[in-house]
Amino acid sequence: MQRFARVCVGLLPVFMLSACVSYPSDGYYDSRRARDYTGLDDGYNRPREAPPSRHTKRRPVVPPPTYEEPTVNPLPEYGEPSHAPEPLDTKPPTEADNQTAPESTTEPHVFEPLAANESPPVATATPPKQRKPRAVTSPGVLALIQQAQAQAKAGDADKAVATLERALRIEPQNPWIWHRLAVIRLQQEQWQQTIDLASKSNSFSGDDPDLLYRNWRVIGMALEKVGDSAGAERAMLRSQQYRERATSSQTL
Amino acid sequence: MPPKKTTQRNSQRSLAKPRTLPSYLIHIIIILTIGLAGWVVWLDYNVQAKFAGARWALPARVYARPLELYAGIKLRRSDLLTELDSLGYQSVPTLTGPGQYQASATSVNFITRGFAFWDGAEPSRVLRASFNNQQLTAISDSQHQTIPLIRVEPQEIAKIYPQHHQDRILVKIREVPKMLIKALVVTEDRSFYQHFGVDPKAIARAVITNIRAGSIRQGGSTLTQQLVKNFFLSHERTAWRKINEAIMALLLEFHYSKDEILEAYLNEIYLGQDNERAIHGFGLAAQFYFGRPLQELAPHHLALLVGLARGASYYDPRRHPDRALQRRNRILATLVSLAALSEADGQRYAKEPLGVTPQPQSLSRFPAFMDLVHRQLVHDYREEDLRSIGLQIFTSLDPSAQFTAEHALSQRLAGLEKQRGLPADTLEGSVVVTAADTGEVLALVGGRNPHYAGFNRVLDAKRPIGSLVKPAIYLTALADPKQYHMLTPLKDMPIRMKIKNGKSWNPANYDGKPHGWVPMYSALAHSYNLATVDLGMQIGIDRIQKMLHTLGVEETLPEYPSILLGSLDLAPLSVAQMYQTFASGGFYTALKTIREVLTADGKPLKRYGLAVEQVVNSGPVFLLNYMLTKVTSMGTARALATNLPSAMPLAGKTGTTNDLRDSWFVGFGSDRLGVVWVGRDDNQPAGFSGANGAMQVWLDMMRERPPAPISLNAPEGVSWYWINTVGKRTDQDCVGVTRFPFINVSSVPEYQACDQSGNILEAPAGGTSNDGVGKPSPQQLQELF
Repeated sequence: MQRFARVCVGLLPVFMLSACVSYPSDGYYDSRRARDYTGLDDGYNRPREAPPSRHTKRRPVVPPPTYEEPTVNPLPEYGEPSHAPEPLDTKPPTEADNQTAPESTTEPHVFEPLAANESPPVATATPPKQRKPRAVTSPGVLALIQQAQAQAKAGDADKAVATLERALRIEPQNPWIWHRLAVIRLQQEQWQQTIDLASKSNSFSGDDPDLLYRNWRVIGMALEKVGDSAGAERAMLRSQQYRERATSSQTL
Repeated sequence: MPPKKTTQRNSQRSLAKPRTLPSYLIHIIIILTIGLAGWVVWLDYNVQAKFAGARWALPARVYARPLELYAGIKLRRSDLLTELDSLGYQSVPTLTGPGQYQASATSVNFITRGFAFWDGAEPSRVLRASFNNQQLTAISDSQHQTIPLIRVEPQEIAKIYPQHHQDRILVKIREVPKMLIKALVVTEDRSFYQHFGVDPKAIARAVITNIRAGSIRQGGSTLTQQLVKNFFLSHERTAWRKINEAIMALLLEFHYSKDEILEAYLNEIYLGQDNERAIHGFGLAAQFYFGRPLQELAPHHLALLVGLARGASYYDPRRHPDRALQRRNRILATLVSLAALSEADGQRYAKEPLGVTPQPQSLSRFPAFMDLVHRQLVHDYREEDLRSIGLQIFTSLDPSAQFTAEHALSQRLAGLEKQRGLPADTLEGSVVVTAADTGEVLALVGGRNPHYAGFNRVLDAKRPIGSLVKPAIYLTALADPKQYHMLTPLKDMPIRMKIKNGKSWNPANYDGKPHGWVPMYSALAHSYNLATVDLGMQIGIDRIQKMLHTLGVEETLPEYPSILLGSLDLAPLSVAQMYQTFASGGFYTALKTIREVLTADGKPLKRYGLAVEQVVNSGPVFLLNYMLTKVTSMGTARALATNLPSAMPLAGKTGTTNDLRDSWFVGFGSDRLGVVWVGRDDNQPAGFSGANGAMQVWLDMMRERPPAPISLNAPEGVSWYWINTVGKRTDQDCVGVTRFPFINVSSVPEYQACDQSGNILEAPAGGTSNDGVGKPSPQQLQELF
């Protein structure tokens, strides 16, 4: 038996040669046959722009939407897109940012300019009583928002998005989280998502002119990029109106 | 072993008489040597191919959402304990390591195991969670530092198995308890670290023992040989196989280190059977028998697992606890005799019970949810890869929401059958719960027996949705704010419509009565059919179809007017998708179950990020949702207001189909949306309206953890006005006023003052007839407001 082993050991140079041969698959699972999904996905987590048509295209529920446009430039540094006139959303949301406007406000908040023949709104009712403030920022959510900010600064937009999504699971109607998602998508040049996310943020922003100003500006920038310059102009105008309101409410 | 002896004899002869050897013999020897060399090369080729490549086909592992803990989360102490128990945490008097907890009346101390999430590792930590009756109030670490947020490791909820149903959790030799290796080596192969693949002494010993006993009692196989046998060879006991085994063992030892071989052994060895599933390796065996990771096992647990290597079914601790105990204690005694374990410890561990958990449920616990996960996965991955490359799939399933939904459905259906004297098990149902703004599916119940992996009613039972269609019609109207607002009067009067084939369609109300002129919000709240047909015919079927598709309905829709009353068949998941768009304020988000997919070693492959698409303006959706809160406060679902007072306002809609065949309910707050269908598989009348059947299930489910109220903060461009009892704008301090949101300022009704005591000053002129001709009279509206 031992001698037999020695014979085998004597043949070892032959085995070693054999080690250089490429191996057959032996019916067992072989990772080299597996499809390379990393290549397929063209970079991890790069959602693409949504197709423009909403009503004609049948949307598959399964799988989650994958978008058509794969041309996304590398992620710019977190901070200001070059064409922006001033820092965008540099202010981290503090508790004060997210406090709801006093519920007893009597200020009318109809911002659409009225037509000449229309009578101005009178006796606007106060919003119905709310049990919860609109955006309760818990320490957990604040920690996540800060983490997302750090991740975005480090150029890791995918992780920043995932962190913001975690925050949304805790506070799904916090408009600041949606706003931040919109800003990241803007930096990723995903214009349509930017518009949708900023609009989503607007839908929760209630009477917060500062946030409305920021969202409309983000929307304006994205509309400009998709070639809707008239829409972009309107959005920027709105943004400007809110900005004035925001500054005037600060001085009051 | 006759063939081996022949070989030896041949070589002896050739050495003894080299000169007398005839030349043909030399040729034969040369040919034999070349043949043998070729064969060995071939074996070597196989050994290396197998060892260098992916050694095992690994099932895909599917995880539930990780529980996020933070101060203020609506999580009771019992909820955390349930989560920890499901993760196999042990309740202990003193915390000593990961996977342990210690519960008091108001707090839980525990040590997490840590988990490598794709976006960063969550380290193992010592934590203290404090609770009051409703929620977690604080979470801190061992230094009493407050922690803002922590992710507990996720529960594994399912696996997608390779075809041969082998299952394993790979372990690394460095992470394996030293005691396991000691116990394994002393039990199976004491000279493992000395021999070169085969152990002649052990073979000799085995041969003597077997000759004395007259039968095969003992094997002389080394761990390497056992590995080779399992890895490469069939289980037949032939001499030829033995030779191959020995050669391959030698080859393996030549190419690889002892640790590499041992690690492969630890992962390969067969240690049990769970119905179809074969339990391989110590990593999985630890989970299978003790519900915990291998690293957390004590020496007596490890001894039990080592004992199984010799005969997993003979020593099965669940079926043959006595044998298993004996074998375990014999191994402990051996360890003591070789000084690998102190005598005191040996005696102490030998007194321990087996400590084996009950047989885990071998079927997937959440087949209906997994069905949807799988359908979403096969879009991006090949079936073969799902079953073999060990993908890690992170889903949105909330086990607590899932169990609540399963329980609510099965209990309530049994209760309804009892209450109505129906034969048992005739009613069926399905439930889907989603996160309102992100579209993540939190729970999915495909039938009243949640473990039955058959017909998935949430995905495949397409039934008429009845009045659930109405919000889409009202939204189509509200999206045209110049024409419609919440107070727009609708005609709830009998109507006869000519349809194709010369037939006529005579819709009727649920209560059989017409209600004259009714404001839009009231028509929806009470689900009046005639008023809805009136509105639908004003708008046009095509626009309503378009709206349904916009909202996310994918099924092809019929074109006849009865679609207005919901004679269109949708699966509950489609209904959820449609209402999701309402719940998220007009933003479409595809319902999803998968958050991310990672490779076996934790590298991210794909993330299914949140994408929203505004498909309807926020203003009209806000008005619609406000109307849906009227359904639950004053309409067909008003039982919600009495049953969940603290959660109001909530939005909801009931649905009932002809002859009470289908009972539907959809309800949502600002955080969660739930769709329930109740009916019969044979499509016979079940006997329940939406409120009597499905809504009861929904209530049972939501009472457990009430949804957050709907936000009534009007979006941009929507303003609230006070409306008096006759439908005129007035002041807040007048009598009987109600707030309504308006988009279009010019459609707000004209102003009407009230006197100092709050009564209306002057009644505006109006008709008094109730014949359906002309606009409604103040008296009529008064009844309705």
